[in-house]
Amino acid sequence: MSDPEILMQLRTGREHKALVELYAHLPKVERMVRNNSGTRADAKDLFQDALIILFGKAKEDGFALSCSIGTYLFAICRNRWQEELRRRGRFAQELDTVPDEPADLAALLAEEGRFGSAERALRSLGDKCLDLLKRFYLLKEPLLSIARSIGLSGEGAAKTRKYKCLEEARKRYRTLIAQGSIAQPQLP
Amino acid sequence: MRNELTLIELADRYLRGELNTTERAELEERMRTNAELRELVEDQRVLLGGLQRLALRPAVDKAYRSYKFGKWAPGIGGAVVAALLISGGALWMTGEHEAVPIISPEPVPIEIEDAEPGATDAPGDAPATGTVRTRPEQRDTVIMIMQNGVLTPISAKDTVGKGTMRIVKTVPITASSPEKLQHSLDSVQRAGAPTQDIPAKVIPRDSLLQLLEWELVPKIE
Repeated sequence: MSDPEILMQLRTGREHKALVELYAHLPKVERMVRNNSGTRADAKDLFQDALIILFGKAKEDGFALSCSIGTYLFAICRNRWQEELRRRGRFAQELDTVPDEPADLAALLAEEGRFGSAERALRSLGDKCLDLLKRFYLLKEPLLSIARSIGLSGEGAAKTRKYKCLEEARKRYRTLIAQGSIAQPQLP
Repeated sequence: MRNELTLIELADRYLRGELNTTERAELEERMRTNAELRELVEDQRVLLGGLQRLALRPAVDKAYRSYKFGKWAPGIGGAVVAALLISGGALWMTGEHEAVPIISPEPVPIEIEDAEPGATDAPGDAPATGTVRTRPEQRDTVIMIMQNGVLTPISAKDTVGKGTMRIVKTVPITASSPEKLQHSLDSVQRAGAPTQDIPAKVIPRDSLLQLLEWELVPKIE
């Protein structure tokens, strides 16, 4: 599959084959990580986070790559692993730089770091809140139908519940940000 | 709370691009002068981004499982598994079944080669057997290894200093799905150790290496 084809499939919800194909880039990341104080599990987490980033970006309007997908994924992993090494106090360990890495990588990683913290905050809320938020924001289900299926009295109650969930998520997100948290690898 | 609820709704509609030009301009003007509001909208944007990323994870995990499965069982007929027996005791096949057994009654000490584990993807090395060291607490396990649809030789580099290993048998299998693979495994297991309770499992090559290094072997899915 060519890069544009992969992006198209990620974008249009037929992503499985494309994602499987993208894992072909994992071994290279594995080598980089394992040669630099990391484990295979570290590499997998790192790579999956990079896939999530690409996947998320691909769904944005007007997303275009300035390099190949392989370079894009590897550059993300390389930079985030460098970050992780610093976090572990290994300041002297400098990873090889990636030629033609995307120009806006630093901004991208800062933004995705925030999304990662938000993800952690949301995950910590519990299934009920997550379910409600997903239905409303991702599945675009009407509040009334959400209210019915989770046993709330009506639209108003669902709206209030959604508000409380969001407020709690926001509070936890703020705490994470204040702690200067680095987005940890996420497990399902 | 009523007021904040309204603000969140406003932020939602703004982020979804649902506000009309006037409403948008109005909100943006308020955001310019009101840091709190600006922060609320920004946090809302980030939370929705996080929510979206979170929802993408299952697909990425699912693809990982397919990738792993495809790596050692690409679903092409006629793939071959090699059954190995890792054991301190003596157990091997006598050849009363249809597959050709590879038996090494006298384990040969394996040669030491300098190689990075996992870096040896190329098939072609002859299957190696050997004894270097055994761990008494090690349970008997029938291990089958396959990669890219072909018999993956357990080369000397895989097994250096890693216990007693004997090739019990090789058997052709068709693995077009995890279920079919499991079925084939079960038959190998029955054939390989009819009277003993020895678990059979297929593991990817890197897991074999981990097993040999006495690390935890990931669950096969």
